[in-house]
Amino acid sequence: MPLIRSIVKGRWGYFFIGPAYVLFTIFTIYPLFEGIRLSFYDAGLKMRTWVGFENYARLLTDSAFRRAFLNTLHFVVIIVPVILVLSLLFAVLIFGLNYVLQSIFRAAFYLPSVASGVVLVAVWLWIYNPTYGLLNYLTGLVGLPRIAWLGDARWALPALSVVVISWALGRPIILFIAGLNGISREVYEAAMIDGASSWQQFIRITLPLLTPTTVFVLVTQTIGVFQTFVVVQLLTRGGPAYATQTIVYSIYVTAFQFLQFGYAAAMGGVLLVVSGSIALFQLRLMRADIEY
Amino acid sequence: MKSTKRMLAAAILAVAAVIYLLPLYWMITGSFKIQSDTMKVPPEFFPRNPTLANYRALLFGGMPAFRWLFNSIVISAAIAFGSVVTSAMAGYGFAKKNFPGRNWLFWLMLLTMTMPLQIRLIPLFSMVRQFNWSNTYMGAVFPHLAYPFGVFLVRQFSHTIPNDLLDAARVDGASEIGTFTSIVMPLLKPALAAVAIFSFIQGWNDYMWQLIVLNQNRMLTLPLGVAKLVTSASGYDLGLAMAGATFAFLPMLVVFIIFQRYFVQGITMGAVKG
Amino acid sequence: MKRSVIFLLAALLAASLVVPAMAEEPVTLRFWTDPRFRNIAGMEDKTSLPGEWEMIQAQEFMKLYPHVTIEVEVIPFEDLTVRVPAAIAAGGAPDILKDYLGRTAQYWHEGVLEPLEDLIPQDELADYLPSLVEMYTLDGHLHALPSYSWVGHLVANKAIWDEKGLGHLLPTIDNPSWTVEEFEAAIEAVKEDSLWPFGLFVPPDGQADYRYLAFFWVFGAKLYEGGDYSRVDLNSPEGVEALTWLKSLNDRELIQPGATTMTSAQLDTMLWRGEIAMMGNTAALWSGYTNALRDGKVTREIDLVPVPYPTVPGVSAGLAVGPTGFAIFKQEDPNKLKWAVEFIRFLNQPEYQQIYAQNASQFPVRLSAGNPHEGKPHFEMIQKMLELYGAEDLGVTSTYYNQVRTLLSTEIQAVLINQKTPEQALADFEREANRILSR
Repeated sequence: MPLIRSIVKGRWGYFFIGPAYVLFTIFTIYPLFEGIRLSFYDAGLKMRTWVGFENYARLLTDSAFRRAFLNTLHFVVIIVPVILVLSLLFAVLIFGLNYVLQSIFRAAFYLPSVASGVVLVAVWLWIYNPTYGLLNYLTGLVGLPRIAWLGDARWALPALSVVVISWALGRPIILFIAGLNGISREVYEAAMIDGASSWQQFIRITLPLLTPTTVFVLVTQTIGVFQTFVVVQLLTRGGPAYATQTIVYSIYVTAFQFLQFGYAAAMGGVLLVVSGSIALFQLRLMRADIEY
Repeated sequence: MKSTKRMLAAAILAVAAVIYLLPLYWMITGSFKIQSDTMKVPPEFFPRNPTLANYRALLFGGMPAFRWLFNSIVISAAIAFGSVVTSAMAGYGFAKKNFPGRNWLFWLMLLTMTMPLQIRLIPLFSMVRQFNWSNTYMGAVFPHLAYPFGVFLVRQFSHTIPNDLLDAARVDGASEIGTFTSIVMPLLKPALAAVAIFSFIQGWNDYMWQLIVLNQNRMLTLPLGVAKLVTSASGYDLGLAMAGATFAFLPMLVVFIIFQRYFVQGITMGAVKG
Repeated sequence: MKRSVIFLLAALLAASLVVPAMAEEPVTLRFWTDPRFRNIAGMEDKTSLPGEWEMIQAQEFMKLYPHVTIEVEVIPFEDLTVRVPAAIAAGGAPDILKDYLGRTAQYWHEGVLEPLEDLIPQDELADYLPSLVEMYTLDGHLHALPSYSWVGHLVANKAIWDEKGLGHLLPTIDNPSWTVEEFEAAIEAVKEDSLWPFGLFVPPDGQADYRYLAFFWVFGAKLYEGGDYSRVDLNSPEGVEALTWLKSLNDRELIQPGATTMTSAQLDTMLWRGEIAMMGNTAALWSGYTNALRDGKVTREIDLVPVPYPTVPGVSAGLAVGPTGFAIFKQEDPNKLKWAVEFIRFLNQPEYQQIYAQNASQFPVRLSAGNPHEGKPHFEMIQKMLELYGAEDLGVTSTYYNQVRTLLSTEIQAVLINQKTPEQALADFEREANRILSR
């Protein structure tokens, strides 16, 4: 049997991936599988009844979940482009500087990313406070009225987006700088001889050559936004009136406050499909590049 | 001309960075304000009556803050150590060994990187409980020991190891394990440093899982303790919350300053080549 | 000393004479408690943190029964809703839980609690307030043992009115009722820049439902139809009137900004700082204020007084009552069950009942605890209000309590932020809630 022979021949491969894969199977694959299985049950804390696809059918008519789904997309639509534009802009600006300044700015923009979400959310809760928060003080200086940033349906989602952006720029900036480093000087020199302005160079050379980095940032940030949890839990608990309810937060509430673990698992199933598709897309892109 | 452009760029960046770092500044200065000053309007941009009272309350006020710090360090360090070992082995195996199912197993691992913990939270917790690991370091550490991102990083980096080198070692009669420990591991050092740092941070900031698996006060980690200060129903003390947040942030700041180079390397290594 | 204490001591004495002869099998009980108590009078040094008082109690019990080990864990309020369900679902429930009725009732409906009616001696049970025993009886079983209770009413910082010479606008114990118009006049009179006369709290998860439901009761609307919890009844002309009125307070900026996402602790802090003049709450606010003063979180002297909700002619509206009790999770070992029951009976002895009442501003649930608040004007006022108005049903023990209240608070939020009219919101609430209830 050729398969058995190649398995035996590849035994050292299995040996090396063994520890990671055994742990991975126990602590990730198995619970994931169990989670999916649970979504076909009407499951409370202890009681379980098989209901087939009923939970999924219920999701279709659940307006709160639909809202959560749309909010999650809304988050993506606000957050991801802002991160892309800002990090690319800052990366280009940083790239033109000398080594010392490069390191300083790169570090400055990365710094918030190492703080835990809980830590930063604690500060933002204060900044957004309608009566003694910093933001209302600053907007008040230019004569704007006092706003309950987290309690106003028009502002709550943007306000949370700002918090997410406030710690997400570091990684993309570093990636874009690395991308810029990878573009050879000669390409620009040729363009300059042709008389292209800086802006034209940016549009015609820099942007197209940065495409792999851009796509990578786009996909990883989108997946990150899909997992947004702490911000919602500690700042708005999904309110006001579902304005900031996300899929992940819905799962949490359904499981722990309503004790409907089966239904929550079905929401997880939807999330699995959505983020799985994004991930597959990402993998295709990465595969295209990394198989040297 | 060029230098004016540079100065302009530096100026724009400086303004942006100040805005970007304002929350951290607000946190740190806030930790030196007493409660009534934190709620002052107009706010004090620099604490006029700086006080250490919040830190006294945090560190010596009966809350086991040092114990929380210790727990965070033990848990994060154990996760970092375990991740380095498993990622080094698996990353090398996936990059340099041929075996049936190699690609399939690798992509499966990467795919799950994107799945939120919430999907598998309850089954995972049931299992950890059956191992009798709730409220233990084991329970907080083990689910993180397989670190797909680390495996990915090492695999990427392993491609830079020339096959000739490995073949030469084989010809010299070195064992597989010997080759791995004495030739491969030293070459992987930059990647392993990045894995160590990222997994350490991930362990440090692993809020949701720790919330579920650790529930005795003396077993909490620093971020969990801080969250308690922030959301505590028994009175909202901003100064104290900021002191807690600063205290939880400081170790990460130190790690970042010391290992900055590896952060940058690790991030770029994990991405596509631009 | 009360008779039941003597009885208990006699029983303990008798037990201690018999027990050593038969060497009891060791028992370990895990006791999870909410963080209600701090700074217990007379032992402030030893009880400055939540949970320390319960540990002292456990040690007292272990002294009496050396073969019993009790592991006390204090769970912060904000974690009670996550950790306990997660622990139960994963098979790691504690043996005993002290928590709010709203949550213990949910656990009963999930079938994970021991019924207690046959485990507590009948004569001891007769010492409990019948109304509380009735509240705790679900499907014919005593699902947990009530321990103490709060009463929901308004709390005003009278100092704000007194400073303006307007103290007479607030009701007193001799005249403990006022109309909606009088209420509005009183709060409008103290409105200032950076002083909101009324603090409202309608969080997205439906917490503190008693505070906003009270206004529906004022106008004569009820949450549920009839005695069971099969249909909601809030979408009535009275309900719409109540919500419209609440909205008008908000529109006139008589309510602080951010009612929809603020935390309860932030609101308390505003009251203590004199930025809010009045809000719905319980007497627990006094002990909260005392603790905050001791912690140095507040410096301002305020004068908190209990105030009744306003009344509408022809409507009788009661007050919300919110008890906390001990639940015992399903046990396999009858011996463990026996000692868990012994322990919760021990924790509910009349002397402790008094300590609970005094230190967390709660009301005892046992007749033999007497009236620990006798002679305290604030508590006399609350007791008078309760006698006058009776108790109202929050639907706490309904199977879908959390879902229904989350739904309601979300609809009220939609009204407060101008997304829906009161009519729309209540119609949507009725439709969605009844759909949940009919499952």
